[in-house]
Amino acid sequence: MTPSPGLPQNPALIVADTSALIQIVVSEEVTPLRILKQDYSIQLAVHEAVETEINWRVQKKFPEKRTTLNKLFSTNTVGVLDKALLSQHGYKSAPALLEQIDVLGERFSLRIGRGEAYAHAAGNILGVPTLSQDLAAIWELINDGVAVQRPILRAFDLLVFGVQAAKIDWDACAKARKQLLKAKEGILQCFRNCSVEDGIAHFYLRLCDADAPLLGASQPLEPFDDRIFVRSVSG
Amino acid sequence: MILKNIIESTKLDPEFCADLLGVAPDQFEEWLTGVRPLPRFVIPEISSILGITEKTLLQASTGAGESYATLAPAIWYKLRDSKLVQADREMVALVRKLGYYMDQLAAVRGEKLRRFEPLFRSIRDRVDRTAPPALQGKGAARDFRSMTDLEHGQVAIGEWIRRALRTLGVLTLESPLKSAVEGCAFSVGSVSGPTPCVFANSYKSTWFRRNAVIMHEVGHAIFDLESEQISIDYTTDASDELKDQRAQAFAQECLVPKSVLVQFANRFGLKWGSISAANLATLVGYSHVEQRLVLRAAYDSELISAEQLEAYGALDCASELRELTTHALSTREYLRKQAVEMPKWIAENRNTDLGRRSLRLPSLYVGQVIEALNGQQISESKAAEMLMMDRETFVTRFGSLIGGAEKAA
Repeated sequence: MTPSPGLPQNPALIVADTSALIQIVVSEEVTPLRILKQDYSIQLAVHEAVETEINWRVQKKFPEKRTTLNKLFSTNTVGVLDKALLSQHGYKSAPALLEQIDVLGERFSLRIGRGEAYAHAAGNILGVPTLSQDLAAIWELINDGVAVQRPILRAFDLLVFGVQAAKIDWDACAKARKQLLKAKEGILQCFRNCSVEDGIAHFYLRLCDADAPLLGASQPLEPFDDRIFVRSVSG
Repeated sequence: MILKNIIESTKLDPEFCADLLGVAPDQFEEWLTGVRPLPRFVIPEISSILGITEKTLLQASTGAGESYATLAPAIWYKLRDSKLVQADREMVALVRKLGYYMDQLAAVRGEKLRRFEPLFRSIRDRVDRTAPPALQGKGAARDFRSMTDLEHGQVAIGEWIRRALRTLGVLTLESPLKSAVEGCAFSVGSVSGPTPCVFANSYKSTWFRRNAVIMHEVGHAIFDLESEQISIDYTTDASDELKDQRAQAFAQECLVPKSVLVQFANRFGLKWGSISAANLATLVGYSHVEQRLVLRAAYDSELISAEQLEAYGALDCASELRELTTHALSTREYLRKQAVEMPKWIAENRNTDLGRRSLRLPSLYVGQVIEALNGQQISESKAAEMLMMDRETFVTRFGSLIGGAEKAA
């Protein structure tokens, strides 16, 4: 489908790194990922390095969440970047792209954690948003003069997007936050001491449904506060 | 299937390998059995740990290339020795992983310290290989002391060897390992640019003993690593092989040459004909080597007779030595004392655990990783990865040393 001029064009993929995907798995709130795929034709994807890392970390640190993770992969809610997935989403010369991602990822991985390195490399090469929790990693990349594909989404962008698109409610966000706190996972400052609903005014939503009323701060609050609008294609 | 054969040839436990690479065991099994091809991102790391070229591994991942029999990495032939236990092989693998990260850190810092290369080459070139092994070792030791400026002042070098080796770019590790291995020398890092690593087992060992072990392994690193890949010395038996005699002579001459013993005698007014337990403690304490070695050196230097060697060897100077130097304390006592002065560098903070294995990281390496983090050359997650610990542990242990880096949300 050719997008109409001036209307948002949904990215085919969002590439996730380990830290962000772990937050989603730990929160057990995967509805936003599912609706992104079903209603917006946006596939969440990971590089094989991230798949490997997250499998290992969940097994070591959160064994009780393995079922959630396995289900994400087995239902293709999260896909692994390979030739088939890239071809399916309209990328030509998939092998060459994968080769470029590997080369760039190896270079990045000298300076940042392996999962982050390959996620940002994929975001760069494929020109799609990245889902990454680790702002420190991004700072290092920027300091090193490397362009990072923006916007960079956080796990909470997906959660709040779910609320904005009316696919989940604030209670679901509260449950997800509770799970993250219980697992001692890092929580964004604005939600650290209050519920997602109460802290939403101090949160700049980076992934927005173009047809739903906006939630949260209207102006960027942090250096990486770039916004992307997407539109449901499910009719 | 080729990776499976390579791992089997190393006698490493696949579950340990999975942990070492940070891969879930079931996923690693898929790589081993060829259900899934070996991903490219992991190939440099496996290459560095196993000592097999990336090209061969790439062929392995595609199922092409050499037959299985020719793929077993050379270093692991010796590590399959029945005298070795699983812990020994796993320690070597763990240290080789450290070597992989050290290579990365050197690349990030833009400094690849390889001063050992011209030094070792020069020492080898100057040694007459037809001479008796003890003479080869002694000559090499004199060259080593001279070329590294360690002979200056004719003092014992036991307290300086670790720093000198780091300056040369030699990885020096002391870590407890419940095993018959007392020390070993092998290469770490990329197959194309290996770095020598000397390892001294600190389990039930003294600082004085380890000095000799370290220098013995340096002797092997100079002469034998090019052809042997790994040299292993056991606590249980002393080898009569030429290379071991040469390494032993090298260690002794490096640590306690005659000139140093003479200087001690003059400085402390020692009479070689009537050495007391207190005198012996002085000799051990200032030479930084164990009683047996300092007496052996005195005997070889014709300062004492065979009878005196035996008589002095029976003296017990342990209590005098404890009064004289903190190095005579047990490892635990010593590290506890050090911890008061250097809380961030105590062994507990530098220990990294991987599955059932633990490794004490060199303090210089830990310091360089933190320096790279503070210099914004690497991210916090990369620093944790390089120290082989999870990020939470890294922040807990070293958080107060980290400044300037942005914290993750």
